Amino acid sequence: MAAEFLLLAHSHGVAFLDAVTDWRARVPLAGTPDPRFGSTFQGWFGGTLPARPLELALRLPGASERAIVAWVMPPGGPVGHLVEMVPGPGGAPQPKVNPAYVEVLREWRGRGPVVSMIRGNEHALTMLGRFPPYDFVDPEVPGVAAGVPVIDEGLLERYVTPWTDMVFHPLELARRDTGNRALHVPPPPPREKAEGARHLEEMGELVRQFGFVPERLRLKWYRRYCRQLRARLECIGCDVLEAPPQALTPEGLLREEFAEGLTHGNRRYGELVAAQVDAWIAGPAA
Amino acid sequence: MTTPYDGQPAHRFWKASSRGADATAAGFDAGRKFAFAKADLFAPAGSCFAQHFARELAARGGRVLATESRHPLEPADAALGYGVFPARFGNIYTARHLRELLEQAFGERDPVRDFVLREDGRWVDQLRPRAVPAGFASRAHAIADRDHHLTAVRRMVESMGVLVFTLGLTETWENAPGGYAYPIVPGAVAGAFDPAIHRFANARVADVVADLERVVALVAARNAGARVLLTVSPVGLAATAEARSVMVSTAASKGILRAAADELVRSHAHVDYFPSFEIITGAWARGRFWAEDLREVSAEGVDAVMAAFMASRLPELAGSSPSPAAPSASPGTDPSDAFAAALDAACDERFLDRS
Repeated sequence: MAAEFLLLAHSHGVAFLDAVTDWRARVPLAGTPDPRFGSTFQGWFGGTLPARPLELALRLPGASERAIVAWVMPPGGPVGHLVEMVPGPGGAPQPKVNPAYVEVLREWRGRGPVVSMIRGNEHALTMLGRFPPYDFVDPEVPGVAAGVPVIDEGLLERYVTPWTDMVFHPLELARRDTGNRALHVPPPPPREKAEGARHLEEMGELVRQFGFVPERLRLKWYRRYCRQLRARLECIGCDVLEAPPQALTPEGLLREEFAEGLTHGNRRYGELVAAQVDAWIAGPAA
Repeated sequence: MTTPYDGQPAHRFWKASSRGADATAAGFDAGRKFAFAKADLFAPAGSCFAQHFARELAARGGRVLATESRHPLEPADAALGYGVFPARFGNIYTARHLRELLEQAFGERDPVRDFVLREDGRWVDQLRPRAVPAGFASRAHAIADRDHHLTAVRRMVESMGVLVFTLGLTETWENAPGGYAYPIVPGAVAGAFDPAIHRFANARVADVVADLERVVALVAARNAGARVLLTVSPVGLAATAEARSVMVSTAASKGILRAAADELVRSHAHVDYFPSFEIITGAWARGRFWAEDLREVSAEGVDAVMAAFMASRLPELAGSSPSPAAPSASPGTDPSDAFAAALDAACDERFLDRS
């Protein structure tokens, strides 16, 4: 059975993997119990994941079994960055490509779409109250807090661009080297009640120190990140999913029943994303 | 025979005063009602000359209030307009403009939302068109920022110890249907002049007095301990909308403003006047404090005013030398040229004279 697509997955791909693949049967995660994470991410940092993509069964409801090739990459694992931004000759950051990634793309050339669930936590620090209170205008999130400075939204691009670099450059390479369709799945929106998260993942100490900014501000940063990312990826012919609406509150936050830890979606969320990815795979070719 | 003039101090006599080596020796501020302490919190506002007062006061160790400051997420860019006045209201040339600003800040009138789109795609608040040179990213941002700005103005009034208001002009352009005044005629900096809605108004003494009385009342209602120090800007009009010489209009405006200030000082124990105008423009100065254009004040003139102010009003800091706050100059540039350039840059009225 030919693999249908190449999945590039960091932690935000785990929800999808848990929902519709047999990845845990193929790659048992092991490691010292980590109280920062729930059961989903136990062993994620244990270093037992292979450094190369592996073929997985894809089991969508009501469909016969299919196959995908998935490259699952925890941070600090054997793969490292797919593309890293490093200072160039003039000091400006420039992309440095992981040779292993080049090889994977070469092997995948002509075989099918590339689906990306990489990165996605770069904007997460904005949820913390590290700065004096502020707000900014966002076209998708109405309202501005009273009594706080209003940051010029035009100034925010300088903060968001480096975050989008981390997704853009790997996918630009994927589009160029494989010639295949590409889809990026952004992380889920901020969860509805961040204060209610049992597992604060790697941000526990920061949360204790700074606390959270209001939900509306968290959502504004997320929407800004998604818009800027979408604009860059569409320029290279890469499609971008929107978060599944069934998982969202009317305001656009991630409903608690779809959340995993502070920043991730859970298996139920993964099911919704899987349906979206499947629809995109079946859609017209680019 | 004796008269009430006998035995009076020297500063009451022209002959003696005119021989004073500096403004202090000439006794310009001899009639002051009160002085200040170095702990007093100043809120300067007013015409372009007020910018220099604010900067020089801070440079000499005075405490200048800041209720609208750069947020850490914003770059240190002068185009954002921070650090010129306590809040980003820009130059306030007339008593009417100050009155209307305070009325908006305290909810006594609805916030004025008069925004225009600039050629570069940025939005400008016509009530403070040069206060934020970078403009605003969107109309929504301009509205939100104005609301925040009015909050900052409110906090300024509530927390200040001294409002120093430099009266600049009597001539103004108003939005007739909206019933509010602009700091400069629409079209000079941004937007377009529309004779159907933009109307010229030239305040009389009674108008300025009424506006200042309202300002004093608004301040007193929110900050009973705040004092008010009025000054009149010596800077002449760049242009007049009256059908007469700009020199004549200047004399008329300054005379009206000076008379109005005098009325307020006579009426309120906590309102006083500082004679910047007299120091610069009076015969004693022999014209030596004018810049090349005979309109702006030279660096020497600003120093003379500030030295007199500090000696008379802030004696605790009178011996302080100003920390380097002079406008930056490129190598080889005469610092006085750089200063003149900075003075010119501070003044909105320069946009009226395109010759």
